[in-house]
Amino acid sequence: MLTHNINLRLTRDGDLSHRRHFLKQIAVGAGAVGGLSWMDQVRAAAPELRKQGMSCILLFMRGGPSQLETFDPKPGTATGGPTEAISTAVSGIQIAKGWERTAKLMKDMAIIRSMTSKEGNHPRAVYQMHTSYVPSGSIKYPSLGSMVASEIADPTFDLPHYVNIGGGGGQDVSGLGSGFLGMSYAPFAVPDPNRLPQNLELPGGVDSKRLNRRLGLMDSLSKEFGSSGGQSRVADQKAIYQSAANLILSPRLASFDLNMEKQTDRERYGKSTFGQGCLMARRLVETGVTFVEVSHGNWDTHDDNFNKTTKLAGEVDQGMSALLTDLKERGMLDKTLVIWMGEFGRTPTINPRTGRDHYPRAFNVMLGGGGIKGGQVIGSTTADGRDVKDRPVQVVDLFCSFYQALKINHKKENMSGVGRPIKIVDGGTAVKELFA
Amino acid sequence: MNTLRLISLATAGLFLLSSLHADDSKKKPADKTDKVYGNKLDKVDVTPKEWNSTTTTKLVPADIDAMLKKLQSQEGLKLANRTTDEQFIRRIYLDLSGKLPEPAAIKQFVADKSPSKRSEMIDRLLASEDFNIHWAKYWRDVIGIRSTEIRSKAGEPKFEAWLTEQIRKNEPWTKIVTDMITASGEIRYAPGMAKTDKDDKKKETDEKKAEGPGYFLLTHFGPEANMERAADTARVFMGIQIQCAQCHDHPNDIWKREQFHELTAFYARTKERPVRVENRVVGYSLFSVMVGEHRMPDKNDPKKTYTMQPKFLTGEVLKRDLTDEERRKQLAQFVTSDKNYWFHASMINRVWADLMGQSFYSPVDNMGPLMEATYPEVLLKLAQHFKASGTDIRDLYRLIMNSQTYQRQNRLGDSADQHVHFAGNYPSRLTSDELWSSLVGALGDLQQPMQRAGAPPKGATPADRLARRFGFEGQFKNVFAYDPNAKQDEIESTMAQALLLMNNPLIQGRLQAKGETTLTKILRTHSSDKDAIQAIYLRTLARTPTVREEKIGLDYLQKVGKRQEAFEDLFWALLNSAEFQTKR
Repeated sequence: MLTHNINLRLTRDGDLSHRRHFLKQIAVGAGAVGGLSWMDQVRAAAPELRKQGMSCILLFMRGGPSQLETFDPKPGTATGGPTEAISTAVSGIQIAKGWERTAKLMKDMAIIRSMTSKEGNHPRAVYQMHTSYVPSGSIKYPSLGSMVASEIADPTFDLPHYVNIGGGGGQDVSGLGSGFLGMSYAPFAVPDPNRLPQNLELPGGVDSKRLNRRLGLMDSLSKEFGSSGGQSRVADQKAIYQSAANLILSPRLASFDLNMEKQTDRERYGKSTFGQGCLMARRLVETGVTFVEVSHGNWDTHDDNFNKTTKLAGEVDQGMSALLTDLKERGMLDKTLVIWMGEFGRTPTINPRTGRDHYPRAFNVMLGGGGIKGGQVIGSTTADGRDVKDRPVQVVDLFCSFYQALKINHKKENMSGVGRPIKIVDGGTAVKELFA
Repeated sequence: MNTLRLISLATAGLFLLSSLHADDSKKKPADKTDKVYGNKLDKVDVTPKEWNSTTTTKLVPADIDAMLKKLQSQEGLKLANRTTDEQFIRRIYLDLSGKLPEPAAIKQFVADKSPSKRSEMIDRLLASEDFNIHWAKYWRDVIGIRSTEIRSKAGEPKFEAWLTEQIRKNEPWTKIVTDMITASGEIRYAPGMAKTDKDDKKKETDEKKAEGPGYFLLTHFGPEANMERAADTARVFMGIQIQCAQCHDHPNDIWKREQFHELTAFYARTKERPVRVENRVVGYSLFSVMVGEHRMPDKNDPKKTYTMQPKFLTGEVLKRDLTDEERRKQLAQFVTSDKNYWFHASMINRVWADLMGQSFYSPVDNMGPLMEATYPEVLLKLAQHFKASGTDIRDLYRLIMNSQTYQRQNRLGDSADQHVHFAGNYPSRLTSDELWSSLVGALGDLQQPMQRAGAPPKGATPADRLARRFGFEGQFKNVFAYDPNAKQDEIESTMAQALLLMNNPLIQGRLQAKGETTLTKILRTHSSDKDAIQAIYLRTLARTPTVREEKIGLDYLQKVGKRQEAFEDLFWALLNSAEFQTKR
């Protein structure tokens, strides 16, 4: 939506921030109308835009990954089950068997074993682990991806700022959407990385020349409505169609096409959807996309936990390690925060179906890149894994850490639709051990 | 955040006997800042004085015009012209049936010389089943879009069917709302929404147990559900946003933190649980617990909590220890009472926003004694009319749509988001349902030939409607859905929407002049290019082209040189236009 006004307002912590309209207007880009030229607007926003080229890849384990079968194994205990522990590249840090590739990269990764929360219901916990807030009927909180995109993405970039691979990716209650930040920061969904996203290809018989001809015809026919009350709708439509055309015709669109990769490289990431999603994430971040989420499902192991997690770990271990290796080799890891997490952990108690149930009280996450100090474990759980023993980390603390790594002020307030100031994260403090 | 958590603990601890904490209920939480704006805002009346003092009279459409004209001329506003017949018929078809008029209906309406043809058309559409369905979809979106529990979505079809039935019977709004607030029992997922087809069959045999009105309270599950239910009750039915007061007194309204928790206390004994058949969840059930009170945590020491007694926003207090059923029955009475101005005004505000594109209070669900409003005196008169009519929904639509105010052309303010003070109709976006119907009207059926395996065959059964949700129709509506509570100028186009209309292979296939498509038929039956352009305009924008547009079309045909290809481009350009996606 385009407006002629730029509204600036002082936030409580003294930053100049821009109201939603302004952000939207900039993101819509080429079709800007009104008192300021496009370049003026970009310059006006520039202090907020140049954020050292940071980006973020979130690897989200849907269903709730067991901490005991990932990065907090308890071999030889009743709750630990048959899962064995393996050594890593960092002496003293052991993780679960099945993560051999990740173990070699431990110098770059930090594990937090003392995560704790209260949300043990999938949708609510997924929402919280994407927004840092619990769901509310009155405010739609933006997801991490949308918030990061709105804070640090380059608005002139012609690909989406936030891409969600392999997840639902909708603007729905699950907390993946842009909430009150508006559609410019909504996730662009790629359900299957092995296929080009839907509707990006021009229909048969339409080439770029004919597309431009059609857009020209649409523009010249929009005058009647555009001069009788439809001005803003017509301008809005023109801008978004121009952006869509830019995307369709962008040479960077090839970053969505994994066929451009060598077969050996594709195999290095693993044949799973998740592995291929990691490869696409690397390609997108290389091209300039700010935030990519890659979803991996089926961690909800209420039965047959040990066999299931072995298979799941194999897929994630391969994809994630290939991603981290490539980012490092290409010199991108310092500028790319990589997060591995799910919505909660699983019960130390093994149920009668050799499964583990939902457990938010003590679980683990792992992060690296983006300046995070790797090769360390933060916090610990008791011997039976039932409680956090030391250094409890709340969800808000974790989110403060994400934003700090991405050089975003997590105390900043944005305006919700009803004019209520909403902090990026409400409370919490960044985990200082993560930052050397 | 910590406070929120503790509230959730407090509510989770419903089963604790209230007597355990009887002593602390006497100590009211005190806070210096409370008193600062307490002193100032305590003097503000919740209900406008005129609501009960002035005599209530029913209005005629000309009364609306006269009241507004007086106010608008004081501001020197220039009123937009009356809509043309073509503009009018498209607008009321979209507003009342959610569809575009057929070209033949447009021509017939324009040719009709009767002076009463507009009001006759309003009556005809208000009496149609399309109106019932369209109206129910609007409320399904109002309530469903703010759901905090994605699993509740599976109850939507039951809710929609129930609401359609209510409006078909022309039930008063007071009864419909009462049914939603007092609902209890099961809402089972409709066939097609279950995980396996085996469950579908089982559920169809249990259909009679399902309850549509339960959906309103079942959009929220879990320990904080009752607070969300209280917030929604105030917001959806009264336009009052009291939920900010959950944690602190409302900084720019009169609502106190205690009032939010007192309202929540009406739902203190309402709970939900999954309904299982053979270990599978087949729906959800609302039920009552026998004991328990809502507890508000102390603002400074969240470990301390206070038992809250049910007290309504307009001051009515309930006796202690009433059952869940009694509490909610009382709550429904307070909400729908003749004395409740905000209940009546909020319906006017919504219907007005839906029909006019702008509302008295904006966003439409953010009203209240201290909120800024456009012409609140007119809203009050309309609310009084609504009360006098016995909260008759059809009567309200008839009243507004027969006014000159509704029948004016589009007008914007100086900036896109400036309120136009009803000097014209503000162009709103079509809802996803309206857009889908318009597209199907222009292109023919867009159903994909392939359906889910095991899905029921075609036909207008509820099961088929559900199967469609998973198909292209479902995808399309998901991409174009927006929150009907939002201000129209804040609803944006998305990249996914543009890409879908620009490139989707199914749509693109149907807009070609190949095979038996709409375009093929138009080109075959209209050998003159000018006539064909006219036919395409009627089919897409529901109007005849202007002379200028005709010329652009003819020039384009000449430039391209290939008739079919050029007409495909024209068809594409009109279906992708902002006008196609907007009420005007």
